Amino acid sequence: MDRGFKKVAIGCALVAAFAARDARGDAQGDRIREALAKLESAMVRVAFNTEVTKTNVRLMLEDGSGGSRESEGEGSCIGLVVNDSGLILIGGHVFPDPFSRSMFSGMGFTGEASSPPKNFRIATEGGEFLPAELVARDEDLNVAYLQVESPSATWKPIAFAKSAALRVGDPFMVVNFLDKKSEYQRSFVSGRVTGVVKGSVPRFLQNGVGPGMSALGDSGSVGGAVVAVDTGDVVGVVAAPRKEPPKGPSGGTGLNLDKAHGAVMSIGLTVVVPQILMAAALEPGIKNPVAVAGERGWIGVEEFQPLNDALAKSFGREPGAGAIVSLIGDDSPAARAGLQVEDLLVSIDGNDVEAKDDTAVQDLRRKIKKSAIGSTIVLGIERNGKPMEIPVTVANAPKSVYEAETYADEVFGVTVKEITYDQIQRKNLEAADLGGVIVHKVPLAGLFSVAGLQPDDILLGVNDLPVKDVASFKTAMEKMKKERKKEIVVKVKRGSDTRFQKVQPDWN
Amino acid sequence: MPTLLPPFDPRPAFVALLLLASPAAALQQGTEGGSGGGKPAAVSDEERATMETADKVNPSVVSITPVWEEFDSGAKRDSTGEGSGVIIDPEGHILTNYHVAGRAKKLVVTLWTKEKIGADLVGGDAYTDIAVIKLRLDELKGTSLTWASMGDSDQVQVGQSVLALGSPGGLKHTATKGIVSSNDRFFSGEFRLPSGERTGAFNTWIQTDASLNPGNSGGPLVNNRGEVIGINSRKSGEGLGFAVPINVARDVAEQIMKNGKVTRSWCGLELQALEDFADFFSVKADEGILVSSVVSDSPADRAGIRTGDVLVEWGGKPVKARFTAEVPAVRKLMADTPPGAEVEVRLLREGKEQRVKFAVQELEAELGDEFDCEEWRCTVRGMTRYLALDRKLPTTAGVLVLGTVEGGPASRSKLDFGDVILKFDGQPIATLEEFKTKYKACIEAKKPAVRLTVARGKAQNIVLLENDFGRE
Repeated sequence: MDRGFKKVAIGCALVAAFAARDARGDAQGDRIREALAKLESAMVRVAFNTEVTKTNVRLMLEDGSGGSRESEGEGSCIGLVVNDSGLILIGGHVFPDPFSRSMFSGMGFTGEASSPPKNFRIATEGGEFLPAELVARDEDLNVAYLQVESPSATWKPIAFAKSAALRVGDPFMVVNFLDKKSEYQRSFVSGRVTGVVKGSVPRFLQNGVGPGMSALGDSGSVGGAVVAVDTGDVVGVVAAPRKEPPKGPSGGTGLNLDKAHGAVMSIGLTVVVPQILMAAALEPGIKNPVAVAGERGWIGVEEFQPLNDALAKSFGREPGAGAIVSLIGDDSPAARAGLQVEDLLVSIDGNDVEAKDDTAVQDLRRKIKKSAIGSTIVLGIERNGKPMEIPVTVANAPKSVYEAETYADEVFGVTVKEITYDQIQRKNLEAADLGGVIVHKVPLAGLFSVAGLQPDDILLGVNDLPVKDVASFKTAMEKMKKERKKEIVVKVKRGSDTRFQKVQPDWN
Repeated sequence: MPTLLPPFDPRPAFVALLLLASPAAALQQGTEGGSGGGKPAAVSDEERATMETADKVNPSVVSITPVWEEFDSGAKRDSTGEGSGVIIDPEGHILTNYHVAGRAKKLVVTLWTKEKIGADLVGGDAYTDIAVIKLRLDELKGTSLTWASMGDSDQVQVGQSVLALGSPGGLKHTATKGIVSSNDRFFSGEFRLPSGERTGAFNTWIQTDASLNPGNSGGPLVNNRGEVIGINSRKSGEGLGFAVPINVARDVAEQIMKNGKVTRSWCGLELQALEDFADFFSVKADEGILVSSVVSDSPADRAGIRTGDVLVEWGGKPVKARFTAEVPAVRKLMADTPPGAEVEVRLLREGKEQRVKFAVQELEAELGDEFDCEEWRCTVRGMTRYLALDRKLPTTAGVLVLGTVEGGPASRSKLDFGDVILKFDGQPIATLEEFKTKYKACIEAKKPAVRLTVARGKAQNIVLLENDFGRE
């Protein structure tokens, strides 16, 4: 055999090997390619603008003056087309926690607060951007919906499998976009379900070893469609990590007392549990997301504690046979009806309440949300072992911080916000604080910044004018401008103390 | 915000660095000495004065090694460090910082002669960060006691030379030199000591650029006559050191030596300097002090004093604060009113004079006592008016969880730092004593589980704490 022939033979063998492999068909690869093709038009890239406010307060100084500066940026996330009129589903992770704020460092506080994203736009294949508007947020599922404002565009919505489910060990893939450096090319990551957290809405997890090793662990995949590789079905989307309320004490200065080394700022912890949100959980929302997110039935029970096994045993009840009331808003329908903290809620309108875990508590909250505003629901409770029935009239939920009225005064250099009910709960403010506005931004070197005002201060008065809400603050500031006041005394509540700060405008 | 000069902790890397640095420095000195030919250096008058001052005061300067208890880890643990102090009288009383010795259960003092003897805590005051300890003179062998004389800190002037003496980093009898940078530095009183109490509300501070380091705490700041004018307490950045003026320290020490503690009164008023608000509040520029808040249901609140009132007279004495540095003196004047005494207050409200009378009450400690729940593997603290106010709780009921040991019953039940335990098996807990009684009864009865109601922010949760009996 001469060498030439030998070469050809080896070549042929290689070709044959490849051919054989091709003939066998990489079935999994085919299914992945099919899924990618299927999702081609149902998945879009959503771009938006971000703004981070950095605040610096110098505590070394007697008046603690400081200020904030904004830095703007651009963000991007996955959007799924969910109906034929251009409704887009995105992960709730693009919305920052409105309650996180400061960190203590050296001679003062430095804090970073992110504003909600603005100027949503959908990237088209042709490189254009179609403007989109935020129409609804579902905070329980931590997703949001955008409506594209383009009459001419046509949309092919994603088709979720109705009854698909994943089990531990099942392979899945997530279709996503690469980063800016890779020009946002479409890509996918794959893995197998490594755990299922049981509950009324099960959570499917995939744990990798170390960062980037999990198909779910990367925030670039949040909002991406999850495809069951074995069947090619689109079974869900990657949910944003659940936001847990900040740990540690809330209230007052927000400082942790008694820690060994003086003042330590409490920092909100976000427990990152990447998970797959099943399509089934999304389905009602997709039909009419605005209606779902807009469900505002409210009785004012802000926290329930699930009756887990141990607690149930200690109460002499079956596990999950009820939920313990942990927090009732002041002057809420539940408070007025006489519901009390520590009451055990066992039924609503005669239907048993089952709340064995946090997901079940979420279901319970949703159930209350769905109640018609103005209707009366009967809460069956047990108080100190005694059964009672408490009728509560369902009210419209109070405004959330996302809906808070905002006013920016460029002359005085301050942005204020209405104090919403949820801020009172989360920041442990007193209900009386509702009569005032909360400082949101104090641009560095502006009049309010020089006067020593800080973000989170509550403004109660301007000169002799009481500040009751955003409108009255605006009126007061307009009056100051009109009368060209040289000295303005602002009454401020900071922590549990009030104080006066002087603002000195220069009208020349 | 200034940081404290923590009592020097001999464990960290600082020691290693010093050990590494010292031989090199010695070598260099040796070389220099050789080339200098042993000729004595000329000493200027100024240097001689400094040397004399150091020589005069150093024999009364001591190093203090305290042992105190800490509760924040979820268990009672002993901790130690090193600070400074100055002997002030022939009975062996030593002035130092509260954050050095104020919570000590055991004290070892190293004298000028390097002799080590025991000392006992006489008392401490967190508000001024001053503590008094007393040497066990019967243990003294061979050292004859020397004490420092105290100057008048009201006469201190910016620019005058000062020496800081003490044991920075445990380096005994270190002298550093500087000037008085400010004689009335004000801190708002929100600064907290490592043990959690606020400090600085009732006094101003002497600021100096004399180098202060951890371990200098409690040591004297002296003038060029060798008189103690301040007690070095905290620093911030380079060349920003702060000392408690000796007049403040002496006053506090006298009360401690007489009564074992400092007694102050409280009426619920928060004050602010009038600065240039005078016009707005219709008062003269140099008149009165502004009421910035009134604690609800306090004596002042019940007497009808309101935010925005301008206080002009307290118990017949005129009070005023145009600038922030004048606020502590007014607070002190008010706090010096004997608890229970009735005071008449003259104030201006929208320019009109009003007189109100009320009885002040005793200013209670900011932090309640600690207690180690050994079986539960957690530590708690009694609630106080201050803690309740800071946590926005309506009453002082309950106990505050300070820490839990991971894996213990408390930690397993998810009890955590900051929780306030309000109920014990459904029974409300008013005080730490009540809690202790219930806790001890539960341990003695070997109850398998306890249901606790805890306040977390605005919410209340039920925590089921399962004891570890028989699971060793």
